[in-house]
Amino acid sequence: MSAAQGGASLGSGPTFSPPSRLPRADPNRPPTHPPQLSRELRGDDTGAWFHCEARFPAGHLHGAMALDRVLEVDAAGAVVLSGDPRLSSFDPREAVFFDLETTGLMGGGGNLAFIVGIATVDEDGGVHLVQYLLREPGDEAALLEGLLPTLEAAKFLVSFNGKSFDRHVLADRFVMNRMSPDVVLDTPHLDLIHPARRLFRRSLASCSLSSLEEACLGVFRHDDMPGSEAPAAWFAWLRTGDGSAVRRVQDHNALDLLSLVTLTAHLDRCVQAPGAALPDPAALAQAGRLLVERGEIDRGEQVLQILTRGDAQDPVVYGAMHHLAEHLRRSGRHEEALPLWRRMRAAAGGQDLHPWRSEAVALEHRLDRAGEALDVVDELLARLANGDGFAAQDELDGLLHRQERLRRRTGLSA
Amino acid sequence: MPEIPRHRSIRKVVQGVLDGPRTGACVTHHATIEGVDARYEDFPDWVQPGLRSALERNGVKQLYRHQRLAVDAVRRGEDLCVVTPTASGKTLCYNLPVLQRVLENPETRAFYLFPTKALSQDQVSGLQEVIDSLGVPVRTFTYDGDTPADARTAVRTRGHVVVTNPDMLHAGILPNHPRWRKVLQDLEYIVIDEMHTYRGIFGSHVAGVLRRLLRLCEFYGSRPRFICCSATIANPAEHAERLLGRPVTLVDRSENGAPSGPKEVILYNPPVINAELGIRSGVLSQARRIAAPFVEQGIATICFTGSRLHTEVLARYLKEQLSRKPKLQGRIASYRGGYLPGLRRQVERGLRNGDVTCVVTTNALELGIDIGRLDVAILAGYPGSVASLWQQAGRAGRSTSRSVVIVIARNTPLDQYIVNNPDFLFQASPEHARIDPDNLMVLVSHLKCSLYELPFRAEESFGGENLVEMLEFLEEAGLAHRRNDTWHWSDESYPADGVSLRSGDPENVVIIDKTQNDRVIAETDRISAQTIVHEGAIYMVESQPYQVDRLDWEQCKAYVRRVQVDHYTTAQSYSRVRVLERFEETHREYGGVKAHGEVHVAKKTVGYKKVKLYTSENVGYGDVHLPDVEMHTMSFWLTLPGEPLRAAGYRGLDVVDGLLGLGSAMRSLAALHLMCSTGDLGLALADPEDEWVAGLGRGGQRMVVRTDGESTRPESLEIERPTVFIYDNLPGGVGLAEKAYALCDTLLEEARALITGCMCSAGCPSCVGPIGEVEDGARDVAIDLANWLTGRISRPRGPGVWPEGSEPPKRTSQTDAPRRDGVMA
Repeated sequence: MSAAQGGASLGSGPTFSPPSRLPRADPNRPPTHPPQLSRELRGDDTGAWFHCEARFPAGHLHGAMALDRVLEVDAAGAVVLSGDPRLSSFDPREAVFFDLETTGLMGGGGNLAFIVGIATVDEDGGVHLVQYLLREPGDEAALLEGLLPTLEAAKFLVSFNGKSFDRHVLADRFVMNRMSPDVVLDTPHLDLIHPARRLFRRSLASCSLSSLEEACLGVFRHDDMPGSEAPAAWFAWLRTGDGSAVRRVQDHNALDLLSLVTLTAHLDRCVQAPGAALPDPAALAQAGRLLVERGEIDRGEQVLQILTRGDAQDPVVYGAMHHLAEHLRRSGRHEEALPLWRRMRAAAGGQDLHPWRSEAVALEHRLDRAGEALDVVDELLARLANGDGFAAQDELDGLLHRQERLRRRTGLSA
Repeated sequence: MPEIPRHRSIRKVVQGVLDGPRTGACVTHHATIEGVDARYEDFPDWVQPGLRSALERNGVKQLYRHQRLAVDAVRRGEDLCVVTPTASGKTLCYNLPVLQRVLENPETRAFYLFPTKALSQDQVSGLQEVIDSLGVPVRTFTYDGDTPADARTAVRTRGHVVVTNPDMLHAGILPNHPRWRKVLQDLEYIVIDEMHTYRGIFGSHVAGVLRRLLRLCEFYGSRPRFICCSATIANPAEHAERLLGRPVTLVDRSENGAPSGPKEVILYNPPVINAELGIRSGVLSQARRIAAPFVEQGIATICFTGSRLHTEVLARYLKEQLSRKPKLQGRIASYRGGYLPGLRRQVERGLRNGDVTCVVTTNALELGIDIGRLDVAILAGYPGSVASLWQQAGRAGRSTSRSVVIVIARNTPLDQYIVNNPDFLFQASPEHARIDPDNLMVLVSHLKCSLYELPFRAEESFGGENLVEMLEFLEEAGLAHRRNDTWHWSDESYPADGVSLRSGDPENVVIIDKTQNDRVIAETDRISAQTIVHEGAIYMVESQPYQVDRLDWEQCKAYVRRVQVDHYTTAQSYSRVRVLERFEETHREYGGVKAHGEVHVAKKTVGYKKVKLYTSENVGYGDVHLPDVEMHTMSFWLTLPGEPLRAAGYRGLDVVDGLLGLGSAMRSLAALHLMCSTGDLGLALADPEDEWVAGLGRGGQRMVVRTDGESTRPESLEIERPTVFIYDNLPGGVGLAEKAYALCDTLLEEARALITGCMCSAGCPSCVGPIGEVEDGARDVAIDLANWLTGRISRPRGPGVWPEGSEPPKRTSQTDAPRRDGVMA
């Protein structure tokens, strides 16, 4: 059980707040319309594909955010978000944002990518969106040849769940057409789903792209086609020539791509300027932990420090104290952790044994202050004896053993 | 445990069977197969010294002759099929060349295919022992449904030897081949162990899977070699070539260099207990009587039975009989499919280390699961094929000491034929393994899967049928999309999910014990569930009876509770057959028609009999209400004209029973000729216009069921076109029916001879079918009809006239062999 959960079970104090404190969608808000794409048949007699594209100026608003905000994303943010040192030279203008629509949901040889959606960022922050739309299976080699220069030029890939799904599908398509899949597999890849889940899993009921759009990006889709209907839409086009449903898949994919760009900007701000970007303390605490874990120690500590100023009875505050104290302890900064443990002990009493034990250990073994350590152990045992909290037998034995040893060390025992 | 040396105590017990006052007379044949000495060869000089010393540390100092021939053939780059008796060191035939190649080139990859997961695990641990003493990182991974998701990447990229089964190859590996490109690019060997198990519809499917695999290998630029191992079958090379689509080098059993001790073979026909009805004592009580003294002496004994039920019943008999011997407590085990893996491993270990003295099993232990060598094999019934019989017999026999095989006959034409015609076992060739990879249903299934895996070009080939026609068929069905001469898969489905290599139904029914906190105690496939765990059935696990309270057909769950009962149950079912398409027909002189074609079969389980333990008395009936199990398959059928039958004075009941009796004999003989088991062929009697079918009513009573579902007694039936159907008892069929059609006249002649020559008076299980399922007099009708259909008489003589060739039976003594003239001449 984590300390945050331990805190949540405190008898007194405020109960845990509802999952989201982010601004909720205004149902009257106008929907975000998909962009208009041009459509041009490219290729030759051996194979051709529809090259569908649109260009957006730097100031274009997608939902509540201008696209050129993505220029703020830098290498430090990308490394924190991905944990991948290969992104330490990340530049959004050298990245390919991509998202596939496929003809099946199982993967494998017969599962085609009928839309390869690509977004790239200009020098000035304008966005170029291209969809490679497959007409029929036999055109795939031509489509991939057409796509290849863009992928070869990409120094980075950005996707939402692409590390698990899209990049493997695309790699399989290259293999199937006797082309090397390394262009997809070896390029450093920032998959936003993982940091998004890390940051918002305690704040949002779902971390799907559409939930994030509504909660963070101000994007509200109207009459969006669910991804599960995409295969049927393409096969209807292939068999009957009716492309109306495929247009809706294109709309869906185009919105996904634009959201990918602004979500990158937003997540970057969440880790670069967490206090400003994240009004929700639970998400803020997650950001602090992520920063510390990914080596942005100062900023992470700062975020957690600010949170610990709140009421220790608040489970989010309590959780932040726990994580900060743990981080300080692991960094050998026991002295700095002591006040956190004391406040946690005061807030939770015998209900959470962790701060008592941590403080006692630090005092005894790291700081050589056996007398104070004995005070901590004595007080805890007294509380447990008075029915404040519960310790399992082996836990209790350990405490008594520690008490005995500390008494000997401090000369209180004969 | 035994104080007397093993071989002396075996001789004593065998002598007891041969000379015993009750048993001696039942022995129809006793022969000793002489032992053979080992024939050794040196290691070939291309084997690396490190590998050689690793093998030596694992006890392989020299190679047997067949091993040397096999590894040399593989080394020359040939595709190989090696026929190996049980426990002759077959794994070395593939492990040696594969390990050598991996040592030479660490990029080398190999697939090992085993028919079951259990066998895979057994083989991996064996190979691992050699690798461990080799001290070189050769990585062997099992890839099956139990492989954790996070381990799969390592298997795909780093495993030198990937051990899997055809089902996993079919649904998991081939459709996702781009992820397996490392293995497929560098694939040098495909090992197919237990090749003889890939026969019938399953084998046909496996051939389809291998075609797909080879197509992908070609795409990735590899040309793997096959190393196949098979038990003794008549046509190993031919079978391998059908399965692989390539010629193979054969190392057959004449090259076998593994030693074996002498083996005594005893054929045993249980005593007749009712000469009037031709009933012999039951095979299980005989098996108990014969097995018990061996087990009492601590002699390692394996008993094979024909079904899961019989396994449980015989194990219970033996446990009860030996319950007063304290030293045998816990030393008698049962083992069959459906037991959970943990329990199976425990029994296997017990057999290897000697904790288990006696195991009662189905054919589940026939294959190469390592249980060590035993001394005595008792076969409670002919297992249905000569190959199976010798496989089972091979479980008994150590390399030097004497072993014993006792085959006990049941009351069936096949079993009776075997024990009375020992030459059939000792001289006739074993069965052929038959597959039909070009069976259209199988072929198109794998074409779909293969198209999903890679686009097809018109100049390719896939099986023996016209590829372009099949692709155009898929195109019309909307599954394929054509561009010039190339077809692509074009559907959102994943075709491998819709194709099961084994029974038609991939779902299993789990059996849940409500008296033990809803613990799952076993499982069974859905088709068998109808006859094994229907409501009211007695289901046994480790000889403990459970009664089925409820079978939840939709959820695939059977709820049971522990009971103490003195009976077991056998389900009663019949089949409705409807002709879908007639491929070929011939009109006969007597006004009838023989034909073959495609049929729709609906198997209906209507009820069950309660059978008392030990006495086999019928002690009650119960009804079962379950949906029909349906399939399309191939059938042979023979239609008789109604007019001559009516003119002869036959009533509906006579014709139904007589024709079913004749059909039953024809089916048994067809099984002998086609070298399949009787269960591979279904039997039904119906009117081809689907006006009625011979079925069963409440209490197992013979009824006629009409198309509208109404049942009547057969007495009132108007005979128009009574038709006997003998069909392939597997969805899609494997070509047995077509061969039965070609053999029709032979089958009729031999059925006539079999029934006429039987020593019973009114029909018995050894000729026209089990008592209780045909009425008295069926035998006479069957002979009359057979005489008519073989042209001996121009019209049936009718009831009450003693048919020609069917003299009143002599009261024969039990040792007199029944007349079999004409059969299998």
